[in-house]
Amino acid sequence: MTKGTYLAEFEQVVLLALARIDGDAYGMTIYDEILSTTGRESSIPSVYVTLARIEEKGYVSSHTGNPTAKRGGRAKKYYRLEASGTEALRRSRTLMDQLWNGVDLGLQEPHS
Amino acid sequence: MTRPNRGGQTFHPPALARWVVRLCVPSDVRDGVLGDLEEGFERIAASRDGSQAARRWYWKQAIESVRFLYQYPHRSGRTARATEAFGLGRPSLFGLVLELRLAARALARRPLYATLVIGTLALGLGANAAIFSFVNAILFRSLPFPNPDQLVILQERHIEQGNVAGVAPPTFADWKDQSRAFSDLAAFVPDAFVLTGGLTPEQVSVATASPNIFRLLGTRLRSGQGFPPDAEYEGGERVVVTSAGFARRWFGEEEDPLSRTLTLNDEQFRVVGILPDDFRFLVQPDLWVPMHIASGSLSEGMRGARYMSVVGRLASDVTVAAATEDMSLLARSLGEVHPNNRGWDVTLTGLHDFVTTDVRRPMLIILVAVIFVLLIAIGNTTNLILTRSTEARRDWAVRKALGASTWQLLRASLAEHLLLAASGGALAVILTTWALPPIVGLAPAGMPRLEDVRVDLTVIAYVTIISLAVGLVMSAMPWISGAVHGSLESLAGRNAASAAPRNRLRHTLIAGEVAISVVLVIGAGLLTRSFWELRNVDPGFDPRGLSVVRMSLPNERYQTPVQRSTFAEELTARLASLTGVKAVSPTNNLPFSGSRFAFGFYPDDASLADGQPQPSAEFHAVGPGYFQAMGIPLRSGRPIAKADGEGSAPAVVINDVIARMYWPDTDPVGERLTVISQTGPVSREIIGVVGSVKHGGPSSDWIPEVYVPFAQDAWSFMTIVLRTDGTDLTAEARAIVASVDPTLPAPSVQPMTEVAAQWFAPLRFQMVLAGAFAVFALSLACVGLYGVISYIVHLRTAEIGIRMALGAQRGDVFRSVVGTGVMVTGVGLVVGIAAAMMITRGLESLLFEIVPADPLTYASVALLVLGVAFAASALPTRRATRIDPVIALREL
Repeated sequence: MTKGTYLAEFEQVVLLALARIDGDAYGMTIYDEILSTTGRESSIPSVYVTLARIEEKGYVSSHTGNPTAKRGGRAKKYYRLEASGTEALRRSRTLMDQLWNGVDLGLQEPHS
Repeated sequence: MTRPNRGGQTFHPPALARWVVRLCVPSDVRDGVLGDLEEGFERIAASRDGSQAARRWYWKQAIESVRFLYQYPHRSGRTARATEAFGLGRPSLFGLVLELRLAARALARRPLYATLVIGTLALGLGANAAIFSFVNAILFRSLPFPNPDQLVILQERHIEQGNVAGVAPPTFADWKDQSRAFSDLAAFVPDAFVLTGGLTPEQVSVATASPNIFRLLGTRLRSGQGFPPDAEYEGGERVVVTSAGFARRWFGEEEDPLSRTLTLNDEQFRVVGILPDDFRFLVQPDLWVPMHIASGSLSEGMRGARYMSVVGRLASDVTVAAATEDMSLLARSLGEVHPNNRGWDVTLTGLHDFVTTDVRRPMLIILVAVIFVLLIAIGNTTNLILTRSTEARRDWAVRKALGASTWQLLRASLAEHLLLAASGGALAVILTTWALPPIVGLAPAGMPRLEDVRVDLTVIAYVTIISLAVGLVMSAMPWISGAVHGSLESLAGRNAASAAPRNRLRHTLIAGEVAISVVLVIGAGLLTRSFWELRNVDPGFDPRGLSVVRMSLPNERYQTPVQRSTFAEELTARLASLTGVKAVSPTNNLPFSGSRFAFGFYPDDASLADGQPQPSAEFHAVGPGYFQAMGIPLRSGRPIAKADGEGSAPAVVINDVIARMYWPDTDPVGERLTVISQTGPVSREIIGVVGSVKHGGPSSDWIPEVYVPFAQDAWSFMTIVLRTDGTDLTAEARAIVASVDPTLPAPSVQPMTEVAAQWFAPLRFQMVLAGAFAVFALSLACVGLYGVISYIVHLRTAEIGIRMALGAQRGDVFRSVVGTGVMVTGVGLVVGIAAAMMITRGLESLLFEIVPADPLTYASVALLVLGVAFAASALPTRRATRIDPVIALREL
């Protein structure tokens, strides 16, 4: 784990989506979570690419499930948030809060 | 597996989109991604949005999956798995892109090496692309006519003398009537008319042609109907077809010039057609005018006036060979009926061949030369690669020890070298596109189809193929040098001993480069000597101090011979009165200008046996001062005088060749000779014999020539030759022409040396190109030699240091290292000379009076190459001998 690297925006999005999901988190469910929570339509490939990058950094871990008849016999690849991932999220949040502090852009909802 | 169903239909994800995803996704997430996409597809298809929306969504994902190619991380474990995917199973685009990205990164870490290799390759490939652009446009691309293979140029050929001439009008008429091999025949004659209506009268290039010519060629006019079929008969309306360039220049861009009129030679011509921009033919004049075949041109005498060019389209399914036979029979039957056709055959040449024949051999030779240059460039880059591979060996040995397979290492090498070659090729295309216009500008103007020379898809394909080949060859080099089989032992010492096998390869490469350079330098040297020989040929006249004034008299005011000869006399007299003019004369047929008048002749008292072919001579109608102006020596008798006018006895001056032919032991002065000209056969008294002139250029043969007084046979196109004391009399000459007839356009005035220069232009161009290649090749070889010697010195630094510490003299070390360099060069030199001797035999057709095995050239080249090689070896060695032994020993 590298100390001091910060998360890119979509990396944060994916990690947060993972954090929100209770239970099986794989490509599709992460994509759905992002879509239903924020309305942002990303794409399956970009989700996977981001998951691979953050897995490289050790923020998440993955394991392959059993093939099911449903998806044409293709197994699902599940992802799980690791402690270092949580730590990275916290760091990012702190960074954002520090910068937002005192900034008044006339937004509707105060960013607390 | 159940699929969403709507009223009995099953929906599938679009197969093409799925294939795209499969191609881009790396193997370790393939199942996950494809499965997720299936899920998503089914969900949308089953929902309110329907199958269309599902397909759209799937395609969007497919396009997004390109991200995997450039955003997916690839380190350690992933690399192994990814390269597996690009292994012997299913090829994956991901794996391929990955290899290229890794190769690009590796090269970016060595910018100097990459730049050197790419730069060298770009130069070699660029030169090839440039030359190939020429070869492609001139030799390969077919002419822009439908069925161009059916188009043939017909010429009359004298059976015994072998010379080729144009076609006489009565003969052409017979061919049109009687030949069956051609679906159509057309004649055309280049000419010049005076165009008025602009600021000043100007002379425009015109071709008079049979009205069916554009139909024969299959050219579709850009606008207009073209010549009406009855245009060749007298009394019809005067019509003209213009070239695209002329229409644009004269009428401007927006106007439609159809039905406008042009005033040519004081007559109105109506524009009835405009040629397209891409019209390419043997002649490309500004204007085309229908040919009127006056009844006078069909007389028996005119059968000797062989000045028309004829093009024919073969009837369908008729081959050139069959047509040749047919026409030969026709020619023979004509010869039996008409004495002036006796002894003349027909020769057929395909239009494309006709246009390219002069340049084909030289172009192909130059193409070979430039490929040689590329080989040298490849040799140098190979040496660079070998140098780098010594460093890479360690890298590979480590990787192998860690489990990388040979195939993986080779794949990486392939990716890197193909990337280098492709970059070199791309840069080459850019360089060529930029540099081609100036090179085309340097080419001699006579080269056909120069305007078509450009970098097009064919050229790009050529460069691509060669780049790929080069890349493959380069990636094979490290194997050959044994780098692939490097093992941990080699990590230990970077010394001269372990480098031995690679040094042998390096030496061989350098020797090869030297050999190739030697061939090129010898070729260039031979061409240069040939060029000098050509320049020194005695043409039979003296071009220094000679100016020529070219003009043509419009038919309307100069229809009768008296009008023309009066004009010529007046003009000559006024020009003669200018200070600085030593001699003046008109002539209808200037030597060295491409003009040819092959007319028949025969001595009056020589009885021509039946069937004996009639000889033909180069015909000149000249004034009294001609031989003096041209510097042609008089052998016997007298030159043409003022007294030989229209009313006097017909006279003729012959040259050496005719005198030797018929009167080898006696003086022909006083004998009679019949010459066939525009007025028919005229019996003339021989009044003098002059020296021969190489009429057709410095490399042409001596042929029979006759000179008749201009006053007795006046032509409307004439050239005035002026011998001056050196002053430039252009303005004065033009003023005098205007004073005799102000309605004439200003004639072109040129020094004779300029006219003669066109003969040297092609050879000069070849010489310059060959010289440039030779210099380039030799420089590259020297750079290569320098590099190799430097490297060897570098390897042997420690050894040199020790030797010097132990008392070796500078001179000994110097001799030993330089000795290697010179020896390698010597080997290359010997091989190169042997190769040159064999190869330059092919140059014989290009060389003028130089034997390919010219000893002077070979000796100079040998000295040059050895000297240069010595310098290239000496420089790095000098540095070596300056080494402080202490520092050298530290290298140990």
